[in-house]
Amino acid sequence: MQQLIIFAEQLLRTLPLNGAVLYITNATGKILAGTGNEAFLGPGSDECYQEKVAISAQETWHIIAVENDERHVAALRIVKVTLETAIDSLLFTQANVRGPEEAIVEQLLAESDDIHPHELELSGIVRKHGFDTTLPRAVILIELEEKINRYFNINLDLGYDASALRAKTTVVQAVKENRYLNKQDIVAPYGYNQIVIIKAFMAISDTGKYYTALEKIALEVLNDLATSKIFLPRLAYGKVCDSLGDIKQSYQEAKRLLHLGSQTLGRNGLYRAEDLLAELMVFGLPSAIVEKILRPLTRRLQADGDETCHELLRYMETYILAGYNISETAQKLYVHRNTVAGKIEKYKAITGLDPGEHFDDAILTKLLAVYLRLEQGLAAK
Amino acid sequence: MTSKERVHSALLGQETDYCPVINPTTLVTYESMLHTGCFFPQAHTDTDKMAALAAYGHTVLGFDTIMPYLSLHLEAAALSCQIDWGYADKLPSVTIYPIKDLREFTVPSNFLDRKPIKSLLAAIRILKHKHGKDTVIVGKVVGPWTLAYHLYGAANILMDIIIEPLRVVEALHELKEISMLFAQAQMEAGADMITWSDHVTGDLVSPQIYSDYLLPIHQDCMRKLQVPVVLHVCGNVMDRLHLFANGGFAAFHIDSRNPIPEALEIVKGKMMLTGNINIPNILLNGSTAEVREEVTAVIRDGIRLISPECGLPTRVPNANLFEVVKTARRCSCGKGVKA
Repeated sequence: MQQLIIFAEQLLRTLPLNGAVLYITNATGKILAGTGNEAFLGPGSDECYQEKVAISAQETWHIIAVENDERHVAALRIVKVTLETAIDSLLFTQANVRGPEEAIVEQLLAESDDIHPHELELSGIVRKHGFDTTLPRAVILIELEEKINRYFNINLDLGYDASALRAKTTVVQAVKENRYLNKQDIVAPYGYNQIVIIKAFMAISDTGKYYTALEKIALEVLNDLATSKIFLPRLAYGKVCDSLGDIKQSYQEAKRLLHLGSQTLGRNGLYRAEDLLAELMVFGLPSAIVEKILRPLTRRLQADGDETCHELLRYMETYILAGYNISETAQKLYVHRNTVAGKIEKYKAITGLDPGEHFDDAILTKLLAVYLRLEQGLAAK
Repeated sequence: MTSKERVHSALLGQETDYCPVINPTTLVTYESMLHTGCFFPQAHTDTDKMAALAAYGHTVLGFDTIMPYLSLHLEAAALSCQIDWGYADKLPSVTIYPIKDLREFTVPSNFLDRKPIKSLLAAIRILKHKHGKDTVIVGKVVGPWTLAYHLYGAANILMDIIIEPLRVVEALHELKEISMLFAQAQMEAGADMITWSDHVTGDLVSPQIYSDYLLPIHQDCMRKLQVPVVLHVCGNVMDRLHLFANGGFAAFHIDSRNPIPEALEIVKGKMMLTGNINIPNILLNGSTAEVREEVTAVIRDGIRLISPECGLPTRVPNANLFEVVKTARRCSCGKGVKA
């Protein structure tokens, strides 16, 4: 902060302010820098003109021009823009300085095997910063979608990168302050839009409790981030690992859930594995099933056009969800039951599958619908 | 000034002839065991042995307090935990946690009559009779949070505080009755001051968990206890020290991982700090010259109640403990070493 005050003093000395008398004060009115001789400024009078500059999430400065005329206001705006640019630049630099937790996360999640250190070396790196390497740990992964992108579809450099970076730093801090996280938990930004929490537990025999706790923590983090004006968060968690070398797997599990969920669930928030059961099954299907069964079925369904294919699958998924009850399916889809019956017959004729009669056919139908959604999600990207 | 006057004045922030040296936690060393002929593990539960070992810290080493509770496990032992009492060089630990469900716990009506509890109370009476006129007799209790670690297992309680916090809070309220019963019994037996060990350590829980669930319990208990109570929590506590300061404790026993000037600023006007002579580097492995330097630095930083940062490992040399007392006596409080 002191550096910023010195910078503000320099600004007022060096910028061409055309003789304007300006003061920069903190929120209480204490003058931090100025071109005049005052020590404190009281409430602004009518002659003054002032604007605010956000220094951080907690602190705001005021730039005050002692006259409300064109010369003073112009000088004030030059100072304001210069100061804001400097603050963004400073925050950008600070945010890019890697802390120990970021370095640890990068080492633990390194993609390539040749730069991934041996488990012992990894243990040394983690221990050096006071983290216990013997505790079971799991990754809670947060992906931040910038809300701002929705309003700007052209690439204008409006300073939003620096603002987003500042906001991301604030988000990381908010996550660190979550009440269920302690000093053994590692929290760090990772990549462009992710925050990784490596949550530590003390070992317990009832391992199901780990996942209940992970879910509760993830929901609480989600709640903490709900007020963010810039980001929409998505969260998922991976498996609990007993060794540091497996943390990467936990991260990958969480990442896969985020990937699948963002394509199919149509919402942000927490993506649970149980919400994505069919998607996970499709993701893990052997090529033989995909190439021999799903692709040929897809081709047959798409022969009458994509619209027909999607509509048929929508009817069939609803039919399965409704417990193979035609009336209930019709109610859910707001159509006549004869329409449902007709679609079922058409589906049976095209695919040769009869979900109402054979459980395996019902599973295949569900997998087919999910497979198509995922494939089209990928194609869209 | 007597030791008693010195400690009480320091606790109230009043001037003292020199900084009192106290031990809110155990001061027993192997050398002290050899000199007294009283050894661990018997001295953990044998009244005469615990009293003799505790008194040695005052009568020979010159500490201003006597603290006969030499482990952290008397309540746990009285509440059916299986304890490995260790040996001369190894402190006790709980080996089997008796509670499988926190709702099971109720305060036994005969808690104060159980052997480990009676032994300590008797030791306090003996020490009060022999040394209580001039010296502060320090009692100690395990707070509800640490007691839950002992009875239910730290891993279980830390998991349940996330999954079922209300159940944990109910249990903490029940467990605090044990701490209160034992504290009041020790006061009646003659304790002038109580150490309250409750390990809400940064590596285990966040400040907010402390604030939400345990701080109200601490505040309630402190309102009811009529002697100065020293809170003991290990580790770096800078992120929660302001909360401890609102707990109603007379002092906080702080460890050397915390920067003293900043810590004093946080607790100013609310409670005293005691500590924070480093154990592993200074008392256990350091020379007497290093001890002297450390104590002087701690006093210069503003600590008025000198003490080792935590319970001592028994291999700490007595010469180093004696040096703590000697250096404190050479120092005018806050003015460095006297010429």
